[in-house]
Amino acid sequence: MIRTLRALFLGRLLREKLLLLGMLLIAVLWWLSAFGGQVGSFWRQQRSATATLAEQKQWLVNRGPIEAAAQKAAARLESGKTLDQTRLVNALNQAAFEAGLRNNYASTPLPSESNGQFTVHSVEYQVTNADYAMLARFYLNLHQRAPYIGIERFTLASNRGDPSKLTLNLRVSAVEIPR
Amino acid sequence: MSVSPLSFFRASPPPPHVVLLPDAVFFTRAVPVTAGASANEAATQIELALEGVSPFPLAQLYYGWFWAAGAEQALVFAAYRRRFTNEQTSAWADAELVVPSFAAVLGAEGIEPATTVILHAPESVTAVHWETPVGPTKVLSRALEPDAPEADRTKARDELIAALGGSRKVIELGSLPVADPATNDREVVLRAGDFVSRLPSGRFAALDVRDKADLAALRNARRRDVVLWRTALACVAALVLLGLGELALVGGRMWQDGRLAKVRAQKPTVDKIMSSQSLANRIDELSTKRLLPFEMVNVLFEDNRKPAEITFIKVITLPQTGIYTLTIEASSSDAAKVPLYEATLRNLPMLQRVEIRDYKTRGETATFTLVVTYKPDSLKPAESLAP
Repeated sequence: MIRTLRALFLGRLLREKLLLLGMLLIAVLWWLSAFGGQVGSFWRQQRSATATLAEQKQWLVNRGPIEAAAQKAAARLESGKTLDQTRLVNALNQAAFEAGLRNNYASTPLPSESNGQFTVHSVEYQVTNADYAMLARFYLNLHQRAPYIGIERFTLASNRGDPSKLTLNLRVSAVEIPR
Repeated sequence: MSVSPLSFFRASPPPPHVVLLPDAVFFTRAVPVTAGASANEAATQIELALEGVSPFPLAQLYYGWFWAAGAEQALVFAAYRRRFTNEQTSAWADAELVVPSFAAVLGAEGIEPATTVILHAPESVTAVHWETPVGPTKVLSRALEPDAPEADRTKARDELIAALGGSRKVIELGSLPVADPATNDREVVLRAGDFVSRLPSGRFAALDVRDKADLAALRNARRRDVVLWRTALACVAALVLLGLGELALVGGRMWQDGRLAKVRAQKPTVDKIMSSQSLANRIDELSTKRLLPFEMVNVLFEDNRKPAEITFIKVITLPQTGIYTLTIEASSSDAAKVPLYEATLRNLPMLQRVEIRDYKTRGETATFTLVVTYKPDSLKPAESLAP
């Protein structure tokens, strides 16, 4: 068959040979370019999937130890003393009130995180225009509830108009273990 | 009856276009060649010899020769160009080989010494004689009318055999050899009944009677065409490979889809494990690694370490710097106190690192960022905090 095609090709005029060859070259380059793009895209996707699968495998292999560690960490806490979101806010307000703060504190609840066995609740808490001594008392009151209440972020800023007055921003978290 | 489109592909390749010219218009001579001459030297010697025996200059001849490498003589054949019309010569343009009819038998194999091959063409009878198997030594031809009676043809044949003398074997070909379909580029096979003659392509340049310059141009064009053919073939092969690649890619995508489905199926479980890990870490930090910001701030104040000229504007802990680092934006009404305060802090045993950043002065005043890192476990939760 090849010899037949060869004889047919060689029997054509030069311009016909060049035209046919040109069309073939264009087709090859066009297809090669498109194919190269597809291969590149496929290669990146498969590498990404390989990395994700390897990471997932690692997590699945370590599932037992991780869950055991979580259980062990939760076991350090007495479920009766753990706080849900409402009780956390109430505890913060009570600590502020006991520190002598009045009507200058506010809370903003943040989304809770749960793994089904226990839940971590977080609250952004702000105290404005307070002096350092009151804020320190508030802080010590919170400490008495540790480890059921923990501070994760802390910002203390002095007021521009009156440097003796301070604004405290805290991100406070609490773990809730259902009874 | 319709012809299948595939019949083209099933068909064997066409035979090479070989033009066999009437023998009667050619004169032939055996000319000597120096022993051990190369092909180029032999060509020069043959052309010189031909010029010597021909009544016309070479430019007015269509000529060729048969010379076996190492042989001490060559058979040269030539015809006056005007014996051929323009119509005849224009038909040679796309021919693979243009030779006198008797040249078609020069590639015969297994020829025994003193063998004569009789070639019957419609317009002539030709006798090609081999004294040795190396190559033919004599060629004689008798022109005949195309409708000459058989008796005339037999008589001419007998006269030729007698003229050659000493033929021990006579091979008679009832018709001119015809080229077989071209199965390769190395040779042209001509066949007349059981008689087979193989003319290697390496001999074409010598055998072909066309103008040698035209022949060189034709060979170059032929080489160019073969290069174009091979390039076209490579393109087709590339297209086939690309087609196979596309199929492989389809298979690869199916495989990849399976893997992505597995990733999706495992994701909820893995997310739960990651969440457990994250929550376990947070519970662990709440229980054992507590952020002690007021204790850290107190260290910077107590024992009147902080000069009164320095004022803390903002104290923050950043998640990225960890629970043991405080970042303090501060100002000083006396810029000279800043390095002194930094030196004081550096001497404190519970501090791991003290760094002043963004230090800017304007007159006596200065603003700066103080970054203080405490040694882990150097701080304990305070029972009370001094104002």
